Amino acid sequence: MEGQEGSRSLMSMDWRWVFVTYCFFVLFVLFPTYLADDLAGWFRLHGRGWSLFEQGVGVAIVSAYVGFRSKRITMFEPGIASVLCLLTCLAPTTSSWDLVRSEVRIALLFYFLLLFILAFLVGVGGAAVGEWLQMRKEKSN
Amino acid sequence: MSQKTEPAEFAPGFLWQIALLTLLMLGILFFSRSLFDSSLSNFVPRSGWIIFPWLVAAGQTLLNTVVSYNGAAPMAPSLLDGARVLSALLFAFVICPTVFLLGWRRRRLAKESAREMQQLRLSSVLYAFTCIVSLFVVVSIIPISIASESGRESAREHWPAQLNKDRIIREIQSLAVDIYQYRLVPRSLNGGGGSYRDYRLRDDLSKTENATYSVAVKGDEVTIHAQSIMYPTASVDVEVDSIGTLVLWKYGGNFEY
Repeated sequence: MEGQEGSRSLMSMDWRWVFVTYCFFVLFVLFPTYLADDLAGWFRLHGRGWSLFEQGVGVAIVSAYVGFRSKRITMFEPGIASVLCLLTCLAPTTSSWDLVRSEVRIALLFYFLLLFILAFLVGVGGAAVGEWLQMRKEKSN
Repeated sequence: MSQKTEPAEFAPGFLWQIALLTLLMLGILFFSRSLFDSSLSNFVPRSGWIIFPWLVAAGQTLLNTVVSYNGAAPMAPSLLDGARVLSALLFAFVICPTVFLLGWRRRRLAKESAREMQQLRLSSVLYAFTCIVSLFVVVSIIPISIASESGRESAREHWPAQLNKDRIIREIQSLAVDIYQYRLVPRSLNGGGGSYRDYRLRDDLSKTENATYSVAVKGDEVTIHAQSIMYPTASVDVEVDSIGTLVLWKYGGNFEY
């Protein structure tokens, strides 16, 4: 019975948590990245991909917090919010889409698809860690 | 896994409060650059900095350096840049640390009920947000200090040479005026009468505290050679053409960069 309840909770989405997680991503991932914008230039001297790494870690941590904090099982919610967050990041680049040649667009679409899948997985993975931590805490109590 | 169906995960009004805060942040993220855009950005690359306001001052210094080559007077920062600096200072160094420290103190003093602890409230989100910004400001000081110190070191190394170079260029401009005047003045008044021939450098112009100068006349052109006194290997070579314009600048030694 408990297993059935668990699987039902897994499938039903709590859209409030999707919204709140998205807000958390904006506040705790996008905004700090914006603050670190030119500081990232300093880091770029010491290794590329710093910004993507920083955002990935940020998304994972926030997702873990949401998984830990929510009372229900929330694993897909941070995944969806993570995809929305990525869409927000990509939104300003759409104006320059016309400049991209058609053959490059296909490669870019494939790249974006991978990026969306990665964002979803990072969100879900982080939330899973949070749920696991919550379970451990409940057991210890 | 246990089913968790307890009500009131969020405090009353939390959802719309966080929605407003998120909208505000998205506004800053997407529109702050255009909001704070000014004449400075026409000359100096501008980034989305808001919490390190001294960079606005650095940008203004760069701009003043650029306009000084046109003989324009240095400009003060615009009102927009002033607002940008003030808002950055208030946000990063006053508001965020204050809200964070007050929130921290309140949490230490208040004994919140178990129900309040379970609910997600805007004050908790703001507490975490201000904590992140305050920590970011504190932590980022380290790489900024390293970068600025290396920048200062570079400036210390190049600044005296640049200053000497600028002074020599200014003196060469005066020299070129004297040379072209000679060409314009008739021979009856000890001028060249339309030619640079027989031009001799005056003693007061041939040596200054910055450099020693020599000239060589070649038809309708005069080559000026300046040898720096401060940096014996550094030199400037330039030609005065038939209409008095300085052309073909060449820099040697420390003046190359």
